[in-house]
Amino acid sequence: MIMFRFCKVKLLPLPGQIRGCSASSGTIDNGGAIVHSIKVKGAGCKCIFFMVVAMMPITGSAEDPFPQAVLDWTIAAAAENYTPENLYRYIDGASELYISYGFVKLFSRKYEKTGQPEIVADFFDMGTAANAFGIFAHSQEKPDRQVGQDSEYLDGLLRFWKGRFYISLLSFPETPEAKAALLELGRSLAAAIPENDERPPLLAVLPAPGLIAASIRFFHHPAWQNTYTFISAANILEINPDCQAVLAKYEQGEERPIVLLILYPEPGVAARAFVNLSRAFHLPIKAGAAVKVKDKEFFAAAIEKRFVAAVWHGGGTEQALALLAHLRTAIVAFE
Amino acid sequence: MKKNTIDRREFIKTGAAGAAAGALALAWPRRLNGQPSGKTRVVLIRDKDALDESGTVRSDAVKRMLDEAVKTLLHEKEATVAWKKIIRPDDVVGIKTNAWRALPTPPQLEDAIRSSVLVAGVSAENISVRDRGVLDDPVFMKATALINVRPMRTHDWSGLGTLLKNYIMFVPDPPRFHPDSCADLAALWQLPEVKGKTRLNILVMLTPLFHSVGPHGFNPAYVWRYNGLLVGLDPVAVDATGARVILAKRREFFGADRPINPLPKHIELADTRHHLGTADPNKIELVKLGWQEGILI
Repeated sequence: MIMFRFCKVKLLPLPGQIRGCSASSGTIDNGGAIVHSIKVKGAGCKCIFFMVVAMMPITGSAEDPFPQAVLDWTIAAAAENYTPENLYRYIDGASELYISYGFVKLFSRKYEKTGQPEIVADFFDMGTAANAFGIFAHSQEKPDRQVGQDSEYLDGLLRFWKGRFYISLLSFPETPEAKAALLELGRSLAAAIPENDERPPLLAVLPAPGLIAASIRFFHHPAWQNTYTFISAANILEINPDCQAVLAKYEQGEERPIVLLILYPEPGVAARAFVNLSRAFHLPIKAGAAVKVKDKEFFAAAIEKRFVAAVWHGGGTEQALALLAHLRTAIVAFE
Repeated sequence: MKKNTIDRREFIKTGAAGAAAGALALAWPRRLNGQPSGKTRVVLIRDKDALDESGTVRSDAVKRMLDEAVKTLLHEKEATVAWKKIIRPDDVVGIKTNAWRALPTPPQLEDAIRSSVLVAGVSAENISVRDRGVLDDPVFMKATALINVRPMRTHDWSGLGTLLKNYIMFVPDPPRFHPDSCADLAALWQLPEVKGKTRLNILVMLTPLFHSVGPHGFNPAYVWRYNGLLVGLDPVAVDATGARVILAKRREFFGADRPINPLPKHIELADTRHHLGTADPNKIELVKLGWQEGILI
């Protein structure tokens, strides 16, 4: 079936747009279909597209953010693009992880050099900077800022995020030449992204003293609620894409307390979630309560407007409640 | 009363394996699976020399490990007798492997299984070793027996890549099993191509992946030489035991409890919801053979 649409869309800022919204035509995809587009120069890179949508397999485009060569690696001919509907064909079950963070589109290319491992370059449009940060932080251990807004390099894998994009550059087995190429390619791709959006504002609620920055996780899918401690196999916290959830650890002497913070779209949902959470941990629903939940772990939680905040602390009820009090103060200031 | 959910306190108590009993529903192994102890037997065998210095699997070592594990599992002194206990000469045997590029079932182990099936009297044309494409494989489509073998690894959506998950290739649309972090993978075992056919489960723990990072999930920083095989008749019990090893390794590596993320809930639900086997460590007789150093559990 052929459809005609006339609409405003926000899509990957391809190099033409990045460098000033020059007029051109090309082929991108939308939801598993080829979208033939004609770009029209527009202010602030908000371009109007006239699109002819045909249900066909996705093909690559000459308009992509990848350089043709990096050091002595050259780009392979085949381009692969994926959407939420077909991402599983590329990364199988792992596709659901990306979809849980709002994944929009993936551009994937390979680079080759004789006698060296290939480089797999995956360029994810995550829709928002918050999602891009979220998927990056999902597995961060020792991030730095070598490339993009935050980056991490580990044994042949360079990951970073910038704007609403998350980039993974992979080359196994690691060689010194390949590592240099990964970093060079990363810098090239980062430079092609003009956006430099802030991290999610909600992170400002986390009290700074003792915060282990690398432990921060930001998500809006219930699958990730158990990252640091088991809360529930069910979605008792009613986490969904309209929520913003943060998990983090703190360094307090020998203790590494865990903080959970969830911002709901409305207070009613927060109230239900708080009751469910309290029941799960046998916490009396009253102000100032904390309970021992297992050996050397104490739990405290509170509801504050549209927020639910919780603390797991090995130091005792007083320490748990003290950290919770800091959170509540920060929430009031944030709201 | 039988529960069909995961309770928080019991999860904490027993780790990823969870709690609650489960009736073994595998048709063939049922009579074989009963142990004098009343527990489900799982054999963990490790060999310090299972891999050479470069990390290549030693064929002779894995063959020895496999035969020793099967003998112990089935209380037999001779490997041939043990194999004949689970495979009949007139069987058509599908050996379901795993071809994930970064960590596939080692071909040396595939060869060892195949040779043992041949020794059990099955003709070569009635044996197929395959992962993707089993639905187009004539041997798998007329198989009377399956041997399930794959490496254990962390997985970005199911928590762990397990024996339970290894049958996902028996459906043409795997995403159908993705909801709720692949909670109901055990339902795969009721497919007509699979139900009641699995004779042996081998979870490869030679170089397990205990943590995933990046879209392709694999990083050499997160594998280690455990040099083991976990072998059993109950896939749930084998997976639950493998999960304990992974959890222990994560605790050792990260210096603190670090839950598998997301929860590999499909293992426990295979027990409590689907009654395919048992995930309860208290109902598993774990027999440890070979190299003990760094065994973790």
